[in-house]
Amino acid sequence: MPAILETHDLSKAYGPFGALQSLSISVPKGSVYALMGASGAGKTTTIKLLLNIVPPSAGTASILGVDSRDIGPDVLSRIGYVSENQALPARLRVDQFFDYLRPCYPRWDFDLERELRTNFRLPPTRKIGALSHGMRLKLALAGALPFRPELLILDEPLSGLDALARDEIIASFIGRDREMSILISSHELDEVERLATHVAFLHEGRLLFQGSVAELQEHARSLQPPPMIDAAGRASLRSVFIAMAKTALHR
Amino acid sequence: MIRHILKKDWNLLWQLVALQVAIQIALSWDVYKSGFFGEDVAANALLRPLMLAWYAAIAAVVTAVVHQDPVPGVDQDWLIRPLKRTDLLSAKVLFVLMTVSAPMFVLDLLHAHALGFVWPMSARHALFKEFYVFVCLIVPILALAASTRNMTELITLGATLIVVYAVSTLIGGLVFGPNHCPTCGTGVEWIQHLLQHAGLFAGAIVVLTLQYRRRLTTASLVLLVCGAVALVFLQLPWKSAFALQTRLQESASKIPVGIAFDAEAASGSDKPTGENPGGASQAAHALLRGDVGRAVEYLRRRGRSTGIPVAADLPLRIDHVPPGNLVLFDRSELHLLDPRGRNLYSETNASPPSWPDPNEAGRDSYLAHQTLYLPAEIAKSMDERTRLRIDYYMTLVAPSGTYRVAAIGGDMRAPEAGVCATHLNQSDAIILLRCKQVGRLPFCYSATLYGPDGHADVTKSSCSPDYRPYLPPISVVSSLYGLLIPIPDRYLIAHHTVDTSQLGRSHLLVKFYAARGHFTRSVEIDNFPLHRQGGDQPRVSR
Repeated sequence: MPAILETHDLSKAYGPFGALQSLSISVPKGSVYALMGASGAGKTTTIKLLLNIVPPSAGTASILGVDSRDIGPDVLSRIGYVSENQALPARLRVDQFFDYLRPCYPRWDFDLERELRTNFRLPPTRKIGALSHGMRLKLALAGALPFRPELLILDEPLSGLDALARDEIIASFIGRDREMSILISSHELDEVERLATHVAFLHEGRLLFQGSVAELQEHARSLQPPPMIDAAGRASLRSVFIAMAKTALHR
Repeated sequence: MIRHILKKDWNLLWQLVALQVAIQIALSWDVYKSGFFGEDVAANALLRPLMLAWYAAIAAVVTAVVHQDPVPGVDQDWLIRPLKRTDLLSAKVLFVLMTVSAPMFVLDLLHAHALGFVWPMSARHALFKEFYVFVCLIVPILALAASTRNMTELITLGATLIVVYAVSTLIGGLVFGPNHCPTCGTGVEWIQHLLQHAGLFAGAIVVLTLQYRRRLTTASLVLLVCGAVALVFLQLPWKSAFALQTRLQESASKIPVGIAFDAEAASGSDKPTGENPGGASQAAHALLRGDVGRAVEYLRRRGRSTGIPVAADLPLRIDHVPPGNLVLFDRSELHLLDPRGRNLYSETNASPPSWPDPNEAGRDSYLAHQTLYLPAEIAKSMDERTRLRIDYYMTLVAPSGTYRVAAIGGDMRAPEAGVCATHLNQSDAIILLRCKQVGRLPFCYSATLYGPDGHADVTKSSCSPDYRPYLPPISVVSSLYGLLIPIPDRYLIAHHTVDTSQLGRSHLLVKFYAARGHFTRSVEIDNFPLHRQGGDQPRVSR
């Protein structure tokens, strides 16, 4: 499968602190790629580097076939992005926010926008700053999908959400357009497990594993100490990650 | 996209814009209402707070529009939207032009026209003023805002830059003394200001480019701090500034004016002044006035002076002055030289002669006095072989217009003056002549009171050399200036022929002067022992 996103020895250091060290990953087109790791593992840094929000210290990344440092409006109009830290214009009303976004994207689907706004029950006249954290994430998602992005990047989209809101958001991905690739970073391992087709584990800025879910199960059997296996003979993401992290710590 | 960003920002900021426009209207109205003589007490009282509010409101709008989409940081929504950064910057600049500059232009245009200036002139000056405000105020604020994420950061950065500027000024004053700012307080200071404004604008453009193209906030902050230091230390040398000014006026070689030491007029006295022209108390007073440069100079003088300075009168004969013209001293550089030509002592701007009484105009030759203050130890070490050389930088001013206006309740319009009015104040002791001008202000003017019988009474004058082409004031399009003419002259300097009962039938003859040319002259005096001052013939060079 061709890659929609690749990195080669991508590194980022903040002073003496190496936030990301020689990361090489490849996200296949059409996949749901889960970038997993504990807080501070380097997930958000990876995404900021991919979107050219911060420059890399070393290495390269390409996204939709373009070097990340050359990303322009053409590429960004094909990428949806949702982050728990996204600073949406707090003083705009919800309807004004959509009025502002629509002209930015040539492929904006107004019917899809209406459907998302209805499904997420977004109050049109409420100011964004007055929305709850969960509603703001839904709003960000409702603003990231109507232009049918080729790549959707989600940075901790489930963090701090209640169970109902998580379910709503996950449901919106499950019925997604199969042409859309998703890169999701999260430390919510159980929730992401329902979606992911591919997984990468990061630990303290280093890549511990990347591959398909099937490859992960294969890999899990070789781990010492072995991860917990469920009744169906599968190791959960959580147990695999814990086993890998412990192994890395021992080394 | 620019239109959509503009629309978004308008939705967010229209209340702030409305407030800012209201403050602009209030200030313009207040300046107009305060009139020529401060007739409206409330309007006068409001002037200063409104002026401060005007600056604050403009800074708030410019900052707020940039901070809607801040440049530093990693979480802003616009970073992941398909927006061209040039579109974003263009939208911000356009927003400021539409919401700050455009209302300002309309108000200034109306203000100038209401004062009595014709539409084309009002429009020309208002447009130039708005351009100047944009370059010197708005673009630098845009750069500061683009380097910060919110108002707190902006205030912190602004305060830091002010501290850096103040400390640099203090260090500059202590290290370089009066040479720290060679053009300050002179008629050519505008060249330094113009260069500083150009530097400010260029620096702001570089910061905006760094921020909106590369998002290099650290580099921008370093540049801003370096810029604050450079504003203090990058000073135009006096000779270059004066040479530049000279090139803008009539050729210096055509000016026939001569200057010479007048030995016959010398009193021969030299005495301790009884006051130290540099001392802690004077430095403190200068600091309280906010004049850091002068305060530092007083402290330097105090530091190097071990005794009370000796004052010496230097009579100077100014001759070959064209009829009606006056000579201004822009700067003098004093050097005491030993027989081998070595410099014993130097002093810049050693109390140059003040500008002459306008009544001197018309005389071909007249006497001016310069008081030299020499440190006691220098005065003591001087002997017969000590030579004195003073280099003078001078300006010839010529009358540019003479106008007659009634002494009380008169009004006058003139291209050099603007719109003027006269008024007798409540205590009937002073005639006030006040003018409002859009555009270039006269820097030398005098007014002579004439009685009903046509006899001249008191003459008052003002001369603050400022040879600038037109650089507008920032906050309002018009400038107020004028003269006070005491009746009777409380110092009894003038011979009075007019009493207050005759003022209704009296008039003022107002004379304006403009710079005709700038030139330099040197005076050299051999054998300049203070106690024999005046005993030797000076050597004069032209």
